[in-house]
Amino acid sequence: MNQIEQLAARLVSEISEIKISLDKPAQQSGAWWLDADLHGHSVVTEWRPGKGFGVSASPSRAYGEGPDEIFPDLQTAGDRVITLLRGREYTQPPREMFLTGLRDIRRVSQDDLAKRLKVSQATVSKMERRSNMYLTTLRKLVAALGGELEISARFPEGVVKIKQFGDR
Amino acid sequence: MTGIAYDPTQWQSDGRMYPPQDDSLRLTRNPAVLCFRSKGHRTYIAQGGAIEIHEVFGKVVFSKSGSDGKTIADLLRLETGGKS
Repeated sequence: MNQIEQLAARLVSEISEIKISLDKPAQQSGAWWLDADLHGHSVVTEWRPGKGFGVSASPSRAYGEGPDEIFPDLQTAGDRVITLLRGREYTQPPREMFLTGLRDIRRVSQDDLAKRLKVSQATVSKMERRSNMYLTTLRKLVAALGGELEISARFPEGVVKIKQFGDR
Repeated sequence: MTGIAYDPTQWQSDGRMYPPQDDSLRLTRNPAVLCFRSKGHRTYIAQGGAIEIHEVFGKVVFSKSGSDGKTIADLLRLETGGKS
């Protein structure tokens, strides 16, 4: 029994009236989905072997969204899913995360990101572990993930976007 | 330039339709129909060009026939001899 199957078994054993559906990938290494519904409140859990769990409970029906919350292990993912179902709560898109998590949520592997940046996979790995880097490097990395880097300064009176470091 | 306005608050759903990813592939009862799963949807694509997008917990939100005039529903129904 793999991890998402274990999660499904836990949900059924702990929540008597739950309805679940396990969506298996064509390849064992692909993304598995567990759709859970309790009295009309739905929680969707994505599991990628070796990468952890993505959990979403949201009224949003936009096409192709990534998961709202990421959990590295079965126990914490299961605890969160049960809390969301029992409390009829919604997840929120992440407000802050590490670069590794950002890459995961954008569903880009280190290899793919390395190709986009025209560097080696080892270089990407190092970049993700750095606590400091050039803004130009960070801008390219974010752009390679499909985003746009913004730098803002927060003051008691409000937030100001800094334009000093525009595209070069 | 895509013409899609940049909106940081909608960073997970920017309005673009990205191509399905291989690791999201599911097989259907008809080998000519592939299914790609995402968080809220299943996207069915057939060899003849038919496409359907289903909400996971709801309705069909997009359907287009293939060059042979058949829809995804037709193709999945035909494969099971009328049992969908």
